[in-house]
Amino acid sequence: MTKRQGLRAIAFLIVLTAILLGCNACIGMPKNDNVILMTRRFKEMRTDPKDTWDGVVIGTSISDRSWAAPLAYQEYGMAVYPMGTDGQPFMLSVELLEEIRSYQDISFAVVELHGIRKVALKTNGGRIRWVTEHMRPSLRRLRAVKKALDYMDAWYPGAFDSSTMNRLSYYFPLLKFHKRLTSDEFYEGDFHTGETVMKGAYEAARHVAARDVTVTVCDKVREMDGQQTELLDELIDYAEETGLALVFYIAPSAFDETASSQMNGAAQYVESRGYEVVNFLDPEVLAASGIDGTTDFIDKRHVNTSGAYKVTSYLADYLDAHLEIPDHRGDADYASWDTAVENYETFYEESLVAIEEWKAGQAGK
Amino acid sequence: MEIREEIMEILQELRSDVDFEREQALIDDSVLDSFDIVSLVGELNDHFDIEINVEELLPENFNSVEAMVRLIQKIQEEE
Amino acid sequence: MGLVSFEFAALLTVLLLVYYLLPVRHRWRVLLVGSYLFYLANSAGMTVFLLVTTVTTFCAGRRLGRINEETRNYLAASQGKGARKEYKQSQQRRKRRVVLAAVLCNIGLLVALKYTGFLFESANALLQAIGIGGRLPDIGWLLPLGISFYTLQAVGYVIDIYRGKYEPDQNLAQYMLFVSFFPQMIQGPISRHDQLAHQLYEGHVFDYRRVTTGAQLVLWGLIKKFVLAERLAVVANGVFDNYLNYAGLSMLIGAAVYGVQVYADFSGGMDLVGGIAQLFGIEITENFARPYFARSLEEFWRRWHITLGAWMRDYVFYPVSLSKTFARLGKRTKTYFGAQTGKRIPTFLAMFLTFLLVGVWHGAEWKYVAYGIWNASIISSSILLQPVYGRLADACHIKRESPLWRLICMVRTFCLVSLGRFFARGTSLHAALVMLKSAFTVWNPEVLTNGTFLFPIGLLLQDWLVILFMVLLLLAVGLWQERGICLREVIAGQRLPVRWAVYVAGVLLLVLFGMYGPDYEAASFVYQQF
Repeated sequence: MTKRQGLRAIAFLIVLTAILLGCNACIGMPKNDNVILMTRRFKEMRTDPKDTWDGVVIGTSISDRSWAAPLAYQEYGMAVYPMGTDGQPFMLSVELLEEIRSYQDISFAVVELHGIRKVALKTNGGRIRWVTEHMRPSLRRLRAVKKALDYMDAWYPGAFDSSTMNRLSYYFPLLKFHKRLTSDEFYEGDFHTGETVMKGAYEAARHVAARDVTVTVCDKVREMDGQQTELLDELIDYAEETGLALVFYIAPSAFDETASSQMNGAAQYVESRGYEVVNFLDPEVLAASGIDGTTDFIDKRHVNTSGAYKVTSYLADYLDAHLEIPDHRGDADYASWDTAVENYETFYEESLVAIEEWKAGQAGK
Repeated sequence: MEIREEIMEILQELRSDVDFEREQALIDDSVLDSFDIVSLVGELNDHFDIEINVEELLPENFNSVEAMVRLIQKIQEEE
Repeated sequence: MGLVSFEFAALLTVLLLVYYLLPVRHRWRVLLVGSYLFYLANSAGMTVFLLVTTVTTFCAGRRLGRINEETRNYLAASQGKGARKEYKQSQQRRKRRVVLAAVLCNIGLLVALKYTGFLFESANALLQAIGIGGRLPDIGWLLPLGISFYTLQAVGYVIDIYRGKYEPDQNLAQYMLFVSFFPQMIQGPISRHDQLAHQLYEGHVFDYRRVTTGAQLVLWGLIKKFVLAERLAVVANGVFDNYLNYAGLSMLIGAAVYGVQVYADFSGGMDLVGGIAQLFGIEITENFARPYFARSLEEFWRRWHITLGAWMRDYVFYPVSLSKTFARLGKRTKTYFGAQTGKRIPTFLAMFLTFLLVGVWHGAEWKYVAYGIWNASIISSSILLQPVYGRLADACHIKRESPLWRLICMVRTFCLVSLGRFFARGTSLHAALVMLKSAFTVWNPEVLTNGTFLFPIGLLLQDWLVILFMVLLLLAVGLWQERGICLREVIAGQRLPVRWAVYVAGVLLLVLFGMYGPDYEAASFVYQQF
């Protein structure tokens, strides 16, 4: 082999790798209507002026459905963005926060606790990807993937396809999703990400519908086990070491006793580590926030626009009272927040009307 | 009659469509297939009263008429 | 660890690095270590069988070599013609004992491991049928990896030494490499010692051109396998595994599709094997020569799985048809059936035996017996009917060498091959017969248009388009090769941007349109099971 041939071979491999990585970046998980909102949130995290967020709300869909960021901004001028993802794996909380903090210099994180339930910890590939594939290619992302997969293999052996091919497909989604090229499964979001109009607030149409549910108030406490405390400790230790304030909350939901008692256990553990928990399953908080099972839920897990309004109002009050958050209203860097507020007002009004109509329809049946 | 002419006669009868004078790679170019070979060997054995062994069924012994002549002479000498 | 796995890719990378870093004379040792690592990783418990075959054939080869040498020395020294003949005959008897022992031992091992289950099953069926109770136990033995391939390769070696074709190996370690060379282990080809062994032993210096050619061949093999074969497998598996759900034309399409699938799968696998060997500077025997361009079934078998066909020809067909028994038989049949027919009968018998063996080589099942009989019947009938075909062509004023006639012959051969596929791929002999019956008694061309077959079977329109593209590509490449044009050299002669574009396009074709990934089963090759 001549030197020239060697150099040419190396050059070819570089070109080929670049093209393959390009394909890998283009062809990933399907961006259907559910996923695209998460994608937009991550996009906004990068496109919003750097270091303009005060804090984020993280957790499962229970968290992002219950946090209407424009409302908190409207009331207190705080920029607290919902960075929940569906079924967000709790073990990825730290990596997610690190990713967020590399773009937005947040001073606190609001952590919704439903993700610590035992049933939520046994996650799946999609839920992991909704976090990791939204991270920029980096060592952090590699670490996050490895952590999640190792975690699953360690805690739930056999539940996950631990073949090399499957593991690699988390690093290189192309390996899994190239098959979409010969499928009919394409969404608008695959080609065009778009923007959120209300700073990440849940805006899908079904959000307006309501269901009658009863919030289970339960005084049983199921203590956190080793698997759960380990994750909570990891998050709290990380926050304390890196100077990030944490606020925990438990959004209103209408699961069964298993869930509620675990939430009580989680609250107890977090309190034992010196943090307060805003617990909407606590009858007092529930009453004070005005949450109403007949108008404020989409289903047993998630609040609707009306419920989100009440949760946000209450929680924003709490944040304002307990943390020192600057008021950004009127600041030019925050113009997009003002637009979000306007959009949110319209959306909220329309939602209330829709909920009333739905209720009337139910009554008529 | 010369061995060569006798072989040519057998070959012509076996495969009239082949120009055996010219072909130099009867086996390597698959001009003759294995059935032709078996028939050919049978005819040669009968005609020259010799016994061509399996180990002699090598391409180099059957690729051309000249090769076959050499083979038959060799066997006749050995016997 | 298959030939397409990350583990294998890692092993291959390490072996290549070490191979080219060590001095040339030690390079064969890398291949030996690699081969045994590969074997141990795949079939560790069965390595003993590989070793038995290796050692017995090695010893038999040496023994035969010594007898050959003794004979040569004696003949060179002695003068008397009578004594020479007698000595030769006694030496021949000694050699025959050795070769018989070695062949019986190894073929016996293959038969015992591969066919005992089948024999027991058949015996049970027989016992049941004639009303005698009792059952032989069911045997579900696992087969040692590659036994059907390496056994034939080793036995061929012994027979070649017996025939004095070449000298035996004197170095056991080197011979171990010849029998176990890892790229060939999964699905062949069945190499000959005089073609492969010296290449393995001598070591090769790094040849840039050869290594890149090897890499291209690997890519081409993977494309055939993952872009085409895996896609067609969806259809073929659908039809053959659920044959009761289909009828008529669907059956014929299934068989034709399987024909293309198994070609893409097997020849793709061979390109992969050949390419990997070329990375080490080793040229492996061709196993395919565009079989679907064959104009007769007989020619097809000279172009398809060439090394198996050649093995069967050299070590079964020739010795049997030229044996004294068959010569005597021929004399007898000539007196009964006349010269023309009579002399053909022994050849046909030998051919039936050969194809029967080719059939059951694939596996111990009745369908493979039928497969062998099908092929032998068609070939013998086509030989017998050759004059008729000729007259037919003349009557239709078709010239034998005209493109039209050639095309007709190719299509006819493809159809005959495809019919044989019913036996080869059918889940059982019974299934094959049911499918064949349906194929020829039900006329339902509407399955092509009414949307009940092509798409519900599991492929979308995009998949069919990919299939169409690939088939056209294979056809074009095949046509070029038939004309003696080597596509790789044509590409290599282009300017750099064109070359790179072609290679990148190849990789993208594989990566974007290959059926691989966590949502598909890990790939295995069709011929891996044999």
